[in-house]
Amino acid sequence: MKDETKLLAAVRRGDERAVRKLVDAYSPRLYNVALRILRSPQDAEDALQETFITALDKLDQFDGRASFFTWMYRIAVNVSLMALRKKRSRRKKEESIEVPSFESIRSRELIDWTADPVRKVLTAEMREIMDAAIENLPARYRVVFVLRDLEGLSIEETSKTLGISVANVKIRLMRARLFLREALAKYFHETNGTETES
Amino acid sequence: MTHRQIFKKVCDFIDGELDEATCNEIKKHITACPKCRIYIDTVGKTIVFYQVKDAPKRLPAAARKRLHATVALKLKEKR
Repeated sequence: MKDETKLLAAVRRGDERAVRKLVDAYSPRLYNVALRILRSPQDAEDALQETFITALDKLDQFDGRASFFTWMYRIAVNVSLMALRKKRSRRKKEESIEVPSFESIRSRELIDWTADPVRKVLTAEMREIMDAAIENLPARYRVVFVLRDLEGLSIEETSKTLGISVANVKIRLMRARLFLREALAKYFHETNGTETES
Repeated sequence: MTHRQIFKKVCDFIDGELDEATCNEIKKHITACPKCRIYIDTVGKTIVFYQVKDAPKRLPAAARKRLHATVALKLKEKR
């Protein structure tokens, strides 16, 4: 924290070495969150550049309530989210998603595809299916899944980063996970059966 | 606890957001109910699959270079 304060003071003075240090310290993690949200190296690079430009522009607005990294991380998430929405609006409107109901799940022959080691199961075909599924996940669901499940933020941290309620994070997370599970279930040939008990 | 209640709580269970008593009830249920166990396990495994597939990537050297150049330019503008 002390190092961060010193680094930030030097950045505020426009010290080039300090800015380079800041870029090297923060860019790997910020690049990854952008890449996970946008799923394109070129788009993630653009978002990363915009994140640092925005941060330098708004440096005076940093009030120290969160760590400087957290502040920049939130900028990176917002920049990426805006880029994703812009990209998706060119292709199709942000639609809601369909997730299977309880009745639908109960009526199926569930396949237990959890026993094999992940790396053995993760074939090129399955990777393609997973990419397609997450590409189809609307931005508001995708970002929650990325922050909570891929970036490892807590529910609370995800809520603060996105400025939405904890309850909202939980709802979106559940729908995102069930939507993605559904793609894998199809790959593993989960089929409809007849059971309807509740 | 019913199958439907388990279905609703699957994510809270995975996230460790439930109290101990509820957790124990779910654990007890899934030892006797393969379908609910498979459902919970496969939701959890979906997350693991994505974590492995989308593991952190290195920022490419050329992208890092371009980033430094962009930021240096921005600094000059600000002066």
